[in-house]
Amino acid sequence: MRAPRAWRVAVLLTGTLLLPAGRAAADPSTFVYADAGEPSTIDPAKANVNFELTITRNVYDRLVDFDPSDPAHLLPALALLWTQDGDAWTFKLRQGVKFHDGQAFTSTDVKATLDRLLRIGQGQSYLVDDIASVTVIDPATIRITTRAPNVFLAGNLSRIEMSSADDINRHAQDADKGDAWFGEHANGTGPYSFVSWTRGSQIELRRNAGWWGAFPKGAFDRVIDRFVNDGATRARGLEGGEFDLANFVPRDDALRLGHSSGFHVIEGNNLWAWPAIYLNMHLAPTNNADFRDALVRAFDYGAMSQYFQTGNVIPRGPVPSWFPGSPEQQEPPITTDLAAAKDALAKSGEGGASMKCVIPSGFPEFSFAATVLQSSAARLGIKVSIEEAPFVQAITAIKQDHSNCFVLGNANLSPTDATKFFAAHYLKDGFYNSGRYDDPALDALVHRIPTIADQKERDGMLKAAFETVVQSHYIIWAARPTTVVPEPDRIAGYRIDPAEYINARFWEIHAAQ
Amino acid sequence: MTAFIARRLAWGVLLLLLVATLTFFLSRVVPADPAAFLAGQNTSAATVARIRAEYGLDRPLPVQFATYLGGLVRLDFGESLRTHRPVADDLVQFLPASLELLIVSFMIYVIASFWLAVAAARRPGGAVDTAIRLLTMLATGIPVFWLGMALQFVFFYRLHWLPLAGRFPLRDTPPPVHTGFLLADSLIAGSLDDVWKSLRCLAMPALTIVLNLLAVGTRLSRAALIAEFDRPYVRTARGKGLGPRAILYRHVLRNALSPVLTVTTMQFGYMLSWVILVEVIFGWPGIGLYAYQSFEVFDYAPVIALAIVSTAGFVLINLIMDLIYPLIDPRVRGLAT
Amino acid sequence: MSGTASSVTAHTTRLSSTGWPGRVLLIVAWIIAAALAVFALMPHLVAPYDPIFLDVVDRLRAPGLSHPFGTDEGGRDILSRVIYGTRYSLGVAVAIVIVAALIGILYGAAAGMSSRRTDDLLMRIVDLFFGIPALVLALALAAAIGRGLDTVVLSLAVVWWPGYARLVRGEVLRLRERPHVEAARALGVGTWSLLFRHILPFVVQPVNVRITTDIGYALIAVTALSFLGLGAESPTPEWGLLIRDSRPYFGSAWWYLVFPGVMVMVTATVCSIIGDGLAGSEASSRGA
Repeated sequence: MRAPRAWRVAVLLTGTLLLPAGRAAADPSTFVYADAGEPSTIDPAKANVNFELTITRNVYDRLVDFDPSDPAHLLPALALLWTQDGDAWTFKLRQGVKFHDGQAFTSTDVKATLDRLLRIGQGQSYLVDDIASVTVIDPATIRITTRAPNVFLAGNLSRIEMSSADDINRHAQDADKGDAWFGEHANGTGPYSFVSWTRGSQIELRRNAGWWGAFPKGAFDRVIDRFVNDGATRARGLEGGEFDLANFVPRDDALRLGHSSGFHVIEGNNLWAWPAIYLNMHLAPTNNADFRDALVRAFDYGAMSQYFQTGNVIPRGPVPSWFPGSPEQQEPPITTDLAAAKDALAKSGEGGASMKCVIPSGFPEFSFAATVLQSSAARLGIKVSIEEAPFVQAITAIKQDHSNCFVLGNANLSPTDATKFFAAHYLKDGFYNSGRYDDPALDALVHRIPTIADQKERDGMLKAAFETVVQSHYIIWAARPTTVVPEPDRIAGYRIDPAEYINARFWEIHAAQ
Repeated sequence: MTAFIARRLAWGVLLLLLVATLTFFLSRVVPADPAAFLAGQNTSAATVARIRAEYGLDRPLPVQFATYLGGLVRLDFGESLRTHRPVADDLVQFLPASLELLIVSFMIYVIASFWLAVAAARRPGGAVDTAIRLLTMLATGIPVFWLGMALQFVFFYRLHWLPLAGRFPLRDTPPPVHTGFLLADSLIAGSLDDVWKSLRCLAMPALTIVLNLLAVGTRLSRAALIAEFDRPYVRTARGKGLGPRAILYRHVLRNALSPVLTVTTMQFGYMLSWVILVEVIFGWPGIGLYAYQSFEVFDYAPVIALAIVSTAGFVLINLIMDLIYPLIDPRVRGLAT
Repeated sequence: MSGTASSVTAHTTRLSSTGWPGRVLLIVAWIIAAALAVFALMPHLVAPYDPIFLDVVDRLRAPGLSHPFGTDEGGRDILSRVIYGTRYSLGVAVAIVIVAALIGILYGAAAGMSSRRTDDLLMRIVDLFFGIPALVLALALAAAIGRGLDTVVLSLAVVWWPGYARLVRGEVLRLRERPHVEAARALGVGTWSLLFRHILPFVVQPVNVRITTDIGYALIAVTALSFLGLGAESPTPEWGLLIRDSRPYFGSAWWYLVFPGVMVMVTATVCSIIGDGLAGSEASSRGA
């Protein structure tokens, strides 16, 4: 008989296929990070998305660093000393630092980097867009002049990666001025050097033994940054041991995994609001302040807390209490108050109105917040329809008045400066100011904060700005959960960056002893 | 014969043109602004405008279309906004992964479905036949994406037998790239170990495709075989005293080949269409995943390119089948000229 | 598309010929179909809870007495969501197939009744549409006119109608030569009334069989598109979207993934079984 024989062969083949591969599993010195996606660019002047910063952050260094457990405390990095004198900042640079290609790092690299960043105007450039000029004093000294005095400049430079003047000059004559080269190559001074980029799969980094900083014992020699777009797959791979750490693990999985055997939980504050619901100030019915007030008061904050399970607080405004100088603790809490919401709705004269929300797709928390808004508004007799769209389409919809609301997660990349956050979210022409909130007085106030040398006075101004935004009812701050990262017990050293969603400082991560 | 091929090719080109036009114009009426995506978040309006001009996105649609068609002739599919690379380069990069998956699955499928169909058709109405018919009928109801996830659950999550996703084990270095086909590259590198690793990664996505195709394919091939069994010549052969095996292998199979081939061709087109799903679920870095991820961020060029490439694949397969038919079935020969 | 493929089976694979297991299966299938019809038309009578309203205290509860299929991340009852989902998933699948069938019948009949040359050209155009990759077209359409179930209907109908055009044209060509049609033509009956009075009524049955089977395939296609995020939008309880939404909770709530998936499978299989049964009775009524 032929058939049974064929069966046997087939069974045998599949059977052997299922056996684990013969060779011993992992090289102990390789660290696999499941990242949330494939970078569009690894150009430090353009990188903007969390999973692009994974590469730039580890391959390049910054002039200053900060202490993740106390962000107001700045630490030396490529610069050892810095001083402010009015609108001029002077940085003394570290000596003997080398790029991965062997070139020495000097002040001309800083100038070339900042000039290029400001010319391109993308990436993190908004953090330093008030720089007027950069002057080389000597190879180890650089002076940066701002348009107006800016106390936050050094802190904001902790987000600006330094590339080599050599690379920049070499590609200055290219038609694209080196955009393509920097987009897929990387030559920094950082703890890890760029090895290869397998399109669609992964980027490989190698530990830079000549780095100026100190690695912990058990630091990994090789890092694989694997692109895994689906959050559930990241969670499952982490659980199954395929990955050593993962970016953005869905919260339920993160909590479950973190408390399962072989894992522990790293939890910390870094989110300013997650999610925040932006209301369109120019499209009826959300252009009515009382109507917005009604939505803010009707919103079921308890549902969001339930959703996030642990470590969630209800924000009282735009700046979290743990941020240096935040006035939040002195502000009244925002709570669900249906009676007050009904009063506000009656005052607005918009009873029975309906509104549409186009929200960014891909974040379960966002669509959940929109659903909570929908069911909360239904209690007021207001109908909310929800549509999901990719980020760019969703934010365009509200900016062009095709949508009444927008949902966003808020974090602030600057460790010390709240004004850049305000500029992006609440000031005229701010990129995330999707509902186009417009208050010239607030604009003037926020722009003045960095020029004030006295910290007390600055804190008072921040408080005034905080209250202006709250009283406009422009935003529904739905929740502020802590960030939960499940770390396998075989790994140690991961720390949550208070000024980013989720970071990966590979130079701090090591095998558990 | 030449005229026939020329006519077929002309229709193929027309089809490609139709698909290119359709997808191009559909994808350009999008409300969202690709320049805004390119600029990234938190950039000024001036930067967005500069980028729009750099990429020619500010030119009128017909001009953009003409430029696009002009490029197509030179196999230039434009530039991907997401990867900042020519789409043609990306396709060359990702196509082998898709082809490897498709070819391997298809080979397994053809063998398995033929074998099952023969087993069923040998005794229509028998126990084997009934079992196969009921199973395939139930299996047609399983969605591909569900099946893929279920396999992941069982073989990775529960049993830890097979890797979760991807083409090659994460921590290992794949063989040097010559062809882009990992199996071939592993062989060139002379590493059976690498062949093995590639096969293990290939197992789940291929199984998903094969099971999905088998459900429909076996039913159809079986039907074609049984239809042949009903023909008068089989009765004649039986009358001559030929045994069932001789009838099957000497007569029925030869005659049933062309309807089975038709079914198989159709299945191949079907598979091209849904390979995106399998690639998305298994993180398989092929053109389907590439186009889908680009689509997610409003990067049109790869989506159009995928449409054109898979249509071209479909045309090509059909053309090859048209050429094969006359060889295996003399009855068609007259029609083809 | 697999749609064409099913017509090959219609004449040869008959469930009714598998004896009593087949007949039992057929009866069960009809009962499930009736239940699905009730779900789609009157979900509020059957579903124990509201499918949209949140009850976060009860989030991600495992199946139990009060929630037989468990709850989702918003504490919504999955049984209720799945029941309400019938209207969206199955409804859209039916819409696609009916739109495709209507276009296909008109087109196929026109081709079948016209001259050889026109027929040839018309069928060449049909061949063109066969080559369009469905999923990619859906991607492009979703990019252009936005995501949503209407986009799904449009893109799937575009790739589905050629199958009907081919089927109907074939039937029309066959019926044209039938004695009663020949007789009517000899009596001077015009082309259109010939078509509507003497030909199309006989096309209805094979088309019916095809529609029933295709609904299952269309359902799978619809849920696949929703799964990829091209179709229904949250919080619509569409089955494919439920499966998509369930992915982040895969490790913690298996029921969230399983039950919507089971609904898709059961419904698609029921369509396939009933289609098969209809094919059987059609063939016997033809005396084939």
